[in-house]
Amino acid sequence: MRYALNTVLMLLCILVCGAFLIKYVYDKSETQQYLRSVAQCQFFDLGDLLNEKYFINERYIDEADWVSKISISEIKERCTEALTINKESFTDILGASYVYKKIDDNTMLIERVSFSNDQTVLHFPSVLKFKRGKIESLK
Amino acid sequence: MTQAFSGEIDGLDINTAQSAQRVIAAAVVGGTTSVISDGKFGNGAVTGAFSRALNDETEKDGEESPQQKVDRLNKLISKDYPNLAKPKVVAVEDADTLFLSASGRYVDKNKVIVEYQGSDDFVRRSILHERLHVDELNFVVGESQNKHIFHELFEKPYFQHDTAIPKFLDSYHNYLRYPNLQPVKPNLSELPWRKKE
Repeated sequence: MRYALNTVLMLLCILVCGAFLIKYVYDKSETQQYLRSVAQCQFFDLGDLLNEKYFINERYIDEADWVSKISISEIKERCTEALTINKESFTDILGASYVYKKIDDNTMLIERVSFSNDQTVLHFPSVLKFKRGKIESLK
Repeated sequence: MTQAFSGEIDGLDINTAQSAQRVIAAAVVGGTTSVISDGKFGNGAVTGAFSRALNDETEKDGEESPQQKVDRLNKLISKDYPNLAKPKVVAVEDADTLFLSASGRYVDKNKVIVEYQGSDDFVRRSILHERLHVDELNFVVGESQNKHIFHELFEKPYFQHDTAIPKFLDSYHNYLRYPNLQPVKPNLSELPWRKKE
C-alpha cells in the first residue's frame, strides 16, 4: 500500500515538474519576443528623438553631446524600459549599445552595435539613416 | 508661437477629431508664422506639425483611461484588418507571470490582456501581437482551443516563438511609421496559417 502511494506521489511530482518545465520553456520564447519589442522600441524611438532635433536647429546635433540631448525618461515612458548610460553611449535592454554618426548637417545615422546572442533569433534593423528629418534607410 | 496660434484650431473639429487634419492645420499655421517671423515656411510647418502631434498624444494620455487607450488602438487595428480575430482586449498594468515577462498575454480565444503603458506605437504592437496569436489558433486548432498548448509547444521547431508574427509586426510598424520606405500595408494573407486556407 505504501509502495503504491509513493509511486503515485512520485508520478504526481514528475507531472507537476514537467508542467512547470513546459511552461518555463514556452514562456521563455514569449519573453524573448517581449525583450525584442522593447529593444526595437528603444532603438527606433531613440532614432526618432535624435531626428526631431533637426527641426529645432535645421541641422543634426553634434556627436560630442548627443547623449546629453536625449531624455532617458522619455524613452522609458514610450517603451516601458529605460536605456542605461554607459561610456558616453546608451545600452538597451538586450545589452546592445549605440553609435551616433553625424555624416553632415543634413544627414545622420544611429547604429545598434555590440549585440551578441540576439542577432539570429531577434533580428531587426540595426542601422537607421535619416536625412533632413526623414528616414532614408533601414538596414 | 506656432502652438499659440494653432491652439485655435481645436475649435474647428470638436466632433470629428481628425488628428491628421489638425496636424496639417498646425503645419500651415506654423509655416505662416515662421514666414512672419522671418523664418522658412517649410521648417516652421514641420515644427508646428510635430508639436501638434505631440500635444495630441499628451492630451489623449491625460483624458483616456487605460481601457479607453487600448480600445482606441484596438479599433485602429480592426480598421486596418477587419478580418483579423477579434478577442476582447483587456488593459492591465502588468501581464507578467512567474516565468513570463510580456506586454500582453493570451487568455482564451475570446480574451487577451495587454499592458497599457508605453507609447501608442508600443501598445498597438502588443495588441496586434496577441490578436495574431488568437488568429493563428482559430485557424490552426479551431474550436478545440485546448489543443493550443500542444500546437504552440510541439508543432513548432525547438519551442521557438512563431517567426511569422514578429515579421508581420515589423512590416506593419514600418508601414505606419516610415511609409516612404514601406508604402504598402502588409496583408493578412501573407501569414502562413492563412495561406493554408
